Amino acid sequence: MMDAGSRPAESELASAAIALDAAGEQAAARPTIYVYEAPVRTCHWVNALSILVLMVSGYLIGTPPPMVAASGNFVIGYIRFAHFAAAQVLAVFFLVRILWALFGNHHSRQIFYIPVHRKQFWKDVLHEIRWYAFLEREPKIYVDHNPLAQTAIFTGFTLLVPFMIVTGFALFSEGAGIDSWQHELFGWVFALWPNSHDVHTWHRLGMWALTIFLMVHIYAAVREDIMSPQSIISSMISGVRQCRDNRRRGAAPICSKPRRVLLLGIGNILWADEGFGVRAVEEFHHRYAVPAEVTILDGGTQGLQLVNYLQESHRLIVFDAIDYGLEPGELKLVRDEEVPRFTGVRKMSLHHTGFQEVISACCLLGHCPKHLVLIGCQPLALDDWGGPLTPAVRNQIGPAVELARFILVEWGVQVTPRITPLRKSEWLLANGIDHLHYEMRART
Amino acid sequence: MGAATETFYGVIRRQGITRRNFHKFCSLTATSLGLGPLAASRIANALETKPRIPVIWMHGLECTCCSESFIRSAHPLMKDIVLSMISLDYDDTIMAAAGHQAEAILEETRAKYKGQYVLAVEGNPPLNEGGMFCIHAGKPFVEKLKMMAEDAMAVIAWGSCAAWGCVQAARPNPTQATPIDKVITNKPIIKVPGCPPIAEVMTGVVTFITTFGKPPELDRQGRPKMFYSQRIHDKCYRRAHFDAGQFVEEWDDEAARKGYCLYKMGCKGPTTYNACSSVRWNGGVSFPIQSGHGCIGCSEDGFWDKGSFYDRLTNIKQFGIEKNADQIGMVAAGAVGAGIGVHAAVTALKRYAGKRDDANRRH
Amino acid sequence: MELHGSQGFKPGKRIVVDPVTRIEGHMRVEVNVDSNNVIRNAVSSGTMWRGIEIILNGRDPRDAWAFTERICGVCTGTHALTSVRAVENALSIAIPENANSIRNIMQLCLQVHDHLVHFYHLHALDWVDVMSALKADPKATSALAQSISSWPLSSPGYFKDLQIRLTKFVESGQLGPFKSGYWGHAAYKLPPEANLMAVAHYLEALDFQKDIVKIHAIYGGKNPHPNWLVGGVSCAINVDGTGAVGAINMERLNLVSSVIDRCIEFTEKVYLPDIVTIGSFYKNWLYGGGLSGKNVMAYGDIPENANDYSAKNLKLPRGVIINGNLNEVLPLDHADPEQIQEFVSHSWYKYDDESKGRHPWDGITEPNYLLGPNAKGTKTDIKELDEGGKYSWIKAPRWRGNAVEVGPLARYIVGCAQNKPEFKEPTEKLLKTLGLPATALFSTLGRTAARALECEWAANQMRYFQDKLVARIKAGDSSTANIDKWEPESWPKEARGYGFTEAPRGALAHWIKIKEMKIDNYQCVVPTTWNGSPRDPKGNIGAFEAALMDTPMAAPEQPLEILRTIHSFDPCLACSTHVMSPDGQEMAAVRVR
Repeated sequence: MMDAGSRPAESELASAAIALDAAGEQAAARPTIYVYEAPVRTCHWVNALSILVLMVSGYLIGTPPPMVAASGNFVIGYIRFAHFAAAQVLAVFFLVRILWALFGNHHSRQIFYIPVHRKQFWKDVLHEIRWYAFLEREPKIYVDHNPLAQTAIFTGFTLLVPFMIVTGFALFSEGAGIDSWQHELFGWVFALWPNSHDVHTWHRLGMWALTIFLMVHIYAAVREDIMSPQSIISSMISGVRQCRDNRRRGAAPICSKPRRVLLLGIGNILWADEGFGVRAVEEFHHRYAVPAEVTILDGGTQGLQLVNYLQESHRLIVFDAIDYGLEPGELKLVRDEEVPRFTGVRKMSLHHTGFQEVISACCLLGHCPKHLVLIGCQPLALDDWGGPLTPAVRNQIGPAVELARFILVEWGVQVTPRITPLRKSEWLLANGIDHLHYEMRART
Repeated sequence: MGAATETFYGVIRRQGITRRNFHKFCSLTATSLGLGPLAASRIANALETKPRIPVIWMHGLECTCCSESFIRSAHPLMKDIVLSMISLDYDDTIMAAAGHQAEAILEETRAKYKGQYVLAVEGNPPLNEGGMFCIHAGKPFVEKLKMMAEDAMAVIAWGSCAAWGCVQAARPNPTQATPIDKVITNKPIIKVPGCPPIAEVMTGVVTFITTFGKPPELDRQGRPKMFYSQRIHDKCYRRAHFDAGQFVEEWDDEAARKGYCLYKMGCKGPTTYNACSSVRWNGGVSFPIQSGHGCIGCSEDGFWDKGSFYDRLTNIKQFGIEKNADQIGMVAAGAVGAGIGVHAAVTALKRYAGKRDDANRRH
Repeated sequence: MELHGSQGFKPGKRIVVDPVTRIEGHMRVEVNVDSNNVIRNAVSSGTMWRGIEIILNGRDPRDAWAFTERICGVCTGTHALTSVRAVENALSIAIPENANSIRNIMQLCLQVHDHLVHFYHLHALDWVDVMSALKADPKATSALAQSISSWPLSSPGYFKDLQIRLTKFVESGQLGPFKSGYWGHAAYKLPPEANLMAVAHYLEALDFQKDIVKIHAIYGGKNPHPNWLVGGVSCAINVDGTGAVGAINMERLNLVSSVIDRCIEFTEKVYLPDIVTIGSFYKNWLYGGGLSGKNVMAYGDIPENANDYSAKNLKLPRGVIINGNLNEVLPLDHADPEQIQEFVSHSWYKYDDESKGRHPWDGITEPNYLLGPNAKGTKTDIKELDEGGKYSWIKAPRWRGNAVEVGPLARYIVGCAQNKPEFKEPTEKLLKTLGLPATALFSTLGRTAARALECEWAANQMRYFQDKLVARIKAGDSSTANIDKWEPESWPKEARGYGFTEAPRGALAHWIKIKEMKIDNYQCVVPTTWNGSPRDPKGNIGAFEAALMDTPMAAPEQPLEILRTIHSFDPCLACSTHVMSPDGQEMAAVRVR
């Protein structure tokens, strides 16, 4: 995993001043996060190419081109060969893609489901639709696919491609014969459609459905690459999602008075990975300067005492170690109504307060932040008294920070990378319990 | 074949073996099988008088092309089948008896050959109007059919009518003509589809049973693999033209006169399972493609309702549309494309306007 | 048309024959016989129905021939030919001359095959006693055979071997299709030698018939159910160019030609002599005339030149004869609403006013399956029909209110009345050979003889059109299809037309209405509809029923005479289809020429 987010070395900060891109920004200074792993990207492009070959050759098989006068050609033969070869490639790489989803990060699983039961998901889908209908000023920023894209890819690709593979292999088995392995595995298709001409027809319709999906997919990717702050096309090549501020320039402010934003890290630095949230907010403070309306806060284990801060804030980003049920070290971003689902705690004593209670208290008091974002990391170890963050979690500090930056940019908050490092007196955690002195020195 | 398929006794006598030696053979057989002295005469009797398998051939709603095809068989000849291989005890189309005498044969066969006769069915039963769209001896045909199926050893469904429903079952199937396997559910049914099936395929199935004493191996749709496991396309002699991309584009064009592939004229060879391109028709003289017309897929389920015989892509009837896949696909893709175009234009306009405002604001 | 006073003849025995076998399709006959066992009342019922016309609605007209061809697999091809003619008529499509020749050859081939198979395998067992053949003297059989024909299969040894095989077959106890036949019936008149000869020919015809249809296989791809094409024929011709092996070439033409020669030989040397033999032994059995001496009708067929369906261009006769007036052959017009009408008073259909007939254009077909009040049994177990009520799935077509007979006999009567030598001379010759007057034609025997004469005519016409085809190819024309109007986009928004043929069994026609490139309405009126028709409101009986009247039965429980007469019409019940609309709202515009 690319360690794109460790604390920028001095040299990197210096070089950040050099690279200015077409958007007038410093490329290295943009928020970036690693999203698409290499197998995901490989499969994407291999499958895309295969599908393209399949569609063109498939179309020609059903509607052959005008006859070539010279004999001795093998025109349809070659077209069919291209079709079958690409089909095999697609079948293999689609299978690989499915397998990778079992081993890869949670982004790699995203295209295999739609969380239909989550209200927030559908709200976000609606928001995205409104964005396309020119009814929203700004799209929301997502690290991976936005919910509408997720829905589209699931229905137009993830369901459709297996359908094409299954019907395709069934059709191939007609020529391969009823003793072939293709017929063994896929001959049941003809139990559904005894007249195989129907299978051809549905396969052909599937080709058109894929065509429509591709048109929309490519259009949306290009459009969003231009129109929204996040990178789209290049992400599927480099694997990294970048976020540009450029669209904020000249855009009318959302409201006249800037609303308060609270950037909060909670957790217990004494308990190994439990300290993640604090370390993340600490690192953020090291890297970036924010305007006055943003409060950066080490919330530690203060529990309900944080209520005041929340009440004052319109928007909240909280870093925390969260048991998502993912692999240790996996980062996940959760928004709004989903946040309380994950910030509950297994109560071991009456003194335990989860962040959920903090949020609930705010709501009861009538002033809860309107926008909630939780940037959580799956911990490995919570019970190592005095122990450091485990490496997997420590390596996610950087990405978590960048993620927060994504969100702040989405909210129209100016975030400036610090060129001059903070003075010690400005550090968030003092008295030797900052990350460097508390943990890192111990390692050496 | 012919007389040679008469009794075993007849065969060996013609080969010059004396009756005395024949009985010696039977005694030896009885001894070596440990059956005792009386068995010898029983063996002799069986070998002398093994009956031909009784066949009851019934007709439902049909056009009689299956019977007509059957009698076209070049090998074996129809006369040899009827005189020497099977006992065609009942067949409306050629039997001497009519009315009561004919019906009595059905009853007699059920009683005398219970579990031993083959029921061959041409056509199918209609279920609407109490089944009285096909009346047989004053009663619905479906009743007679079920009754005769009860004591049959096996059932053969001749043709696409009995196997799938065929033309009378085509949309909207006004009589509710029903394939026989929906009506006879407790007997093995050999489907020999086609409109009609090839003569030598039909007699091939019958003689397989009489020669090997068992039904042929069937595919998952109940058709004999020996004739229905490959498509017309797989054995078509014009396949090389298909692979080479040499097609007839219009009737009677140069390509037609050279016998090029009929794929573009709607040939359903690629999706039709039958023996037409190998066994061919009428003693191997020709078959549809060889005579210049594409295959219409007549041995496939529901082939009447897949759109025109001259279209490569067949019709979708779901959702109340009657269009083929390309028509639907192109319209849909075109609509989406147009939508994308409009959307892109609006996007560009808005962006341009936004940039201009940008510039204005900055000044 | 006189009423048959014996309808509903209550006294006397009621005889039911169901199923009638050795026909195509499903049919039931009931008769009443008086104390002398003479038939005084006849009831013919069509007992099947499929509804193919409604199935055709909404489909591509260029596909219609394939659907209609499956109306009947015995007269395979005739419905397809009628259909393509109907579409071509509606869309004004002209076919090339070669296509006309090839179509004629295919139709004539069907006539030859169908008549031959009908006589030997469907009809012969009503004249020939198979069991009696076992008693024949093979030498005498040979003498008989050689006295009537030069057909080579006629040696004593040949007949002896056949007799041995037949004997073994009978002794096996498993009589197959001959089981429970009416062997020994008093109505059989042939001596054993004639029976043996006939059985030999039955088997030879069974062998030969499969070869006749190779002509269909070559031009149409297969038989039964060869392929046809709107605008021409689908078999391209290429006699000696590149790739000729992929088309109709010299080898294909030679095959057709040799089959034609064999057809001519078989009909002239086997079929016709057998008819003469049978005629000579049955010359006193002249029952079964029915309507043939009164009302007959023929549409005409076999156009000499392409695209001309007027009477003068048709080689088979066209016209109507009423009340036996042979001096006046009346013209017919399918469009005239007063000429052809269909009645349903005794058919299982419903009109608002069933006392009136409806011209097919105004036709309604709404099924109404009801038995009359005097019927015995139940709706699903009919013991006896009530001819006073509804009793058949066949409608009752009438020409100017007259019931008519159609078929080979009708064609020959019209042809003779028109003094056409190709029909008149063979007829007169046959009558002379048998020593029978002209009126003998109006009988079951006459109907049977006419079929044989027509078979011979048809075989020779095949030679004529094959030669014509070759001559045209020689002159440089190999075209077989006109594709000018193949694409539906080239058709008018609405169109209608009709096509007709003379099927082996008689006059056949289809009507089509096309709208927005799809079939809007399709109707067939078929020979057996005319012949097998039930009564109309005036009580006029149909041809089958009329032919049975006044026929004596030697043994009423063994209805041989009924079968003999019914079979002489060559009934085809699958053909006598009609439209059904489940909701009664479809306009079944059946239009008969």
